[in-house]
Amino acid sequence: MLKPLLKKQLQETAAFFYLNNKNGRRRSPLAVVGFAALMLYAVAAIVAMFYIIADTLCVALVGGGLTWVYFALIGVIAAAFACVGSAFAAKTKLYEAKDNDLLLSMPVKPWEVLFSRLLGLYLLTLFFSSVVFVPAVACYFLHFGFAVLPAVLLLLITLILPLGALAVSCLLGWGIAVVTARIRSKNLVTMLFAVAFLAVYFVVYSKMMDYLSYVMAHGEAVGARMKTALWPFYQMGLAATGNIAAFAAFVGVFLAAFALVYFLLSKTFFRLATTKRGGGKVKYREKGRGASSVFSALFRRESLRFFKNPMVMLNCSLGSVLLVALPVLALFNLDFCREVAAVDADGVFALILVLVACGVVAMNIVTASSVSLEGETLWQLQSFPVEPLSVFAAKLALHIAVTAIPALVGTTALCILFGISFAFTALCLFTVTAYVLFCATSGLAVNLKMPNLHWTNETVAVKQSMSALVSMFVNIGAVGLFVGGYFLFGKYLPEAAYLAVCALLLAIASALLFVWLKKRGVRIFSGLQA
Amino acid sequence: MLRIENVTKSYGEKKAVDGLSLHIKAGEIYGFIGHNGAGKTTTLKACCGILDFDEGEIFIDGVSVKADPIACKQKLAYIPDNPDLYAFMTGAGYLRFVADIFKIPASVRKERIQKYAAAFGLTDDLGLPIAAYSHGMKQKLAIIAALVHEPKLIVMDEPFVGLDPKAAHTVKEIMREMCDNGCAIFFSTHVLEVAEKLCDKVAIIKGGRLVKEGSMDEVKGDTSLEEVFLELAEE
Repeated sequence: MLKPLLKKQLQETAAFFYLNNKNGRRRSPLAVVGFAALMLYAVAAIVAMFYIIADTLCVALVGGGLTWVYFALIGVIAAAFACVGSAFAAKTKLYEAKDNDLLLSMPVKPWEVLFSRLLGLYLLTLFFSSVVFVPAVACYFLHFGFAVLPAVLLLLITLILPLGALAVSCLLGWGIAVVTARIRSKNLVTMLFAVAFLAVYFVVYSKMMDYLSYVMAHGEAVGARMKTALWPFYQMGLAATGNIAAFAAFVGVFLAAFALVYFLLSKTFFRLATTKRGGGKVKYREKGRGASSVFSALFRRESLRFFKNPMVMLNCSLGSVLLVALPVLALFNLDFCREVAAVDADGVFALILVLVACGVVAMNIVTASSVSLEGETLWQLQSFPVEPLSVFAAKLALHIAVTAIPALVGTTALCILFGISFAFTALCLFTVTAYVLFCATSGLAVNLKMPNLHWTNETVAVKQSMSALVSMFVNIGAVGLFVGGYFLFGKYLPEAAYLAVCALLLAIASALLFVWLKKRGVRIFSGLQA
Repeated sequence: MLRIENVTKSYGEKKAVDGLSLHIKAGEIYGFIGHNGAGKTTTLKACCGILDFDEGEIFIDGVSVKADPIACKQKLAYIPDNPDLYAFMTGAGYLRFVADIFKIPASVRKERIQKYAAAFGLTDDLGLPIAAYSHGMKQKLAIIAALVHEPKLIVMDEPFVGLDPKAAHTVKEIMREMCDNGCAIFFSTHVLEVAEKLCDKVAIIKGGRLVKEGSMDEVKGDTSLEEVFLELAEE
């Protein structure tokens, strides 16, 4: 019975590449190649980033005779990255998958369902850990030459390391599922888990260079601490140097950890997967609410859906959190702010500030998944007497509300902290506002062209969505043009004029996109079939 | 109230609906019968402006669905066979949303929601999120939402699926009451006994083409609707 389940799980994973979510049909071979090329590009960018980190560590640590410390550290980074990448996927894929009830109604043992789900998660964890670990291994061989035994052991480590990460992500996902299955305000709890998780991640990420410098300067001391505090990774590091006994110890610990977690999950899977969420029954009491306009109703609907799902909220509006966090971070570095404020170069700092703000705004992809999120409920909007343009207006308004408010507050605060003049502050705000409008309209246009209306849970519609990916590329591409344009035309235009031209161009682009939405977008939306 | 004229809809090479023409008058309950894949849902969706069609015309109260879909949608209500409603809303929130979309004044909507929610025994559950509703409860909520704006035409795809006997009886009573007040109802069903008892007129569709249509007596004659249907299906 396990075989068809595993096959289904692999098909579900592979369908991401070959299935067109717009109509549920197979993509054409050309589309598959194009899609794969785009994914490859995204992966290559991440791999390049980790290769640079690995290169810095490799030269310092392996060159200093601390090969095992290098691999142990890379192992820790890979495992942490994989945990961050898959913890919430573990919760949604294990306990909230739409087909849990269907599979559990069949003559299939719960442990088999769990095993097949874990296979999908293992592949995800393997992917995340590999984008860190494989470039580090390649870097090591490039610098210090290839050897067969370490190569074989490193290959096996690459395959076994995700099991440990998976065990931790499953425990985290299980913890969230246990808590949220019993309480009514599960969105709040999930949100708190997610924010705490992200906060730790960003703190570590922001301090990465400090950590790297420290590790390079105190390699031996770090190694000594790892021997006791992170013993399994110490064994992994030794195994990477060709130590068979250490390899056996590493495999034993990681397999045992995974087996233990699997045992724990299998004991509770059925109960957790079938627990009715949302708390007890509450008798309805009528509230005297008045009528609202069509736009208000549509906007309320968009907001409700957005704020009800913490995963959707976090994935689509991470930029907003960072936009608020940036001035707070600046406050902690007031001396630096004062130094900048003392320099008489308002124009350059205003450009840099706009660049930073837009780079963060680019992470918000509210509209880029808003059509996909309609999913099977699309028939309602299509059968109601509302113009598709009104629906678009509500979607755009939510994106603007979620992004523009923190963007304007954050940019203003940063301008004040860095002592930027009123005129440049106003220009910064205009440019950032125009960029928010551009991101909102382009995101919606991209999602209309690449909707994913067939998903098993809302997170899939956002995370495994081509439109979210393309939209982010478009947003970042616009920031790239902003930078490139300055290098090309900066010497002919003063900073104020350059900012004004950028704001104007972004406003024109947004207006053109809106016209496209009004004409072509409306037709596409009316023709969509869930 | 509903005039379907020579409508054709193809999916690739396959004609799902082929030159279909039907006229449904105000006050009529019109049954639409056919085997799975006969083209019933395609026709119903085309009537509601959800699905574009290749040839022909559909008029609702004299207004073309193609020319002015919004005006047509203002007059109709559609209930699909498997109503996927907004799971993130409560039942009451959903009804409020629908009432806002149809611009129903607060006092009017309150009265109608109270009436229909009580009829379906759903009043106490309106505070629950739709995600917690059973299939039958969702179906009841979709029907209440469809009635909130008192449409001139109700298009229903398998409206009795998932309903308990009491709710099914209530739906039939409401259908008759609505039609007595001048509304037209066009619905598909596989439950031929219900169609036989409830419908004023019936149409049988096969392979996208209309094979028989008329008043119930004209269609079934001295036999039963089931026998007529099976006979036509075998031909």
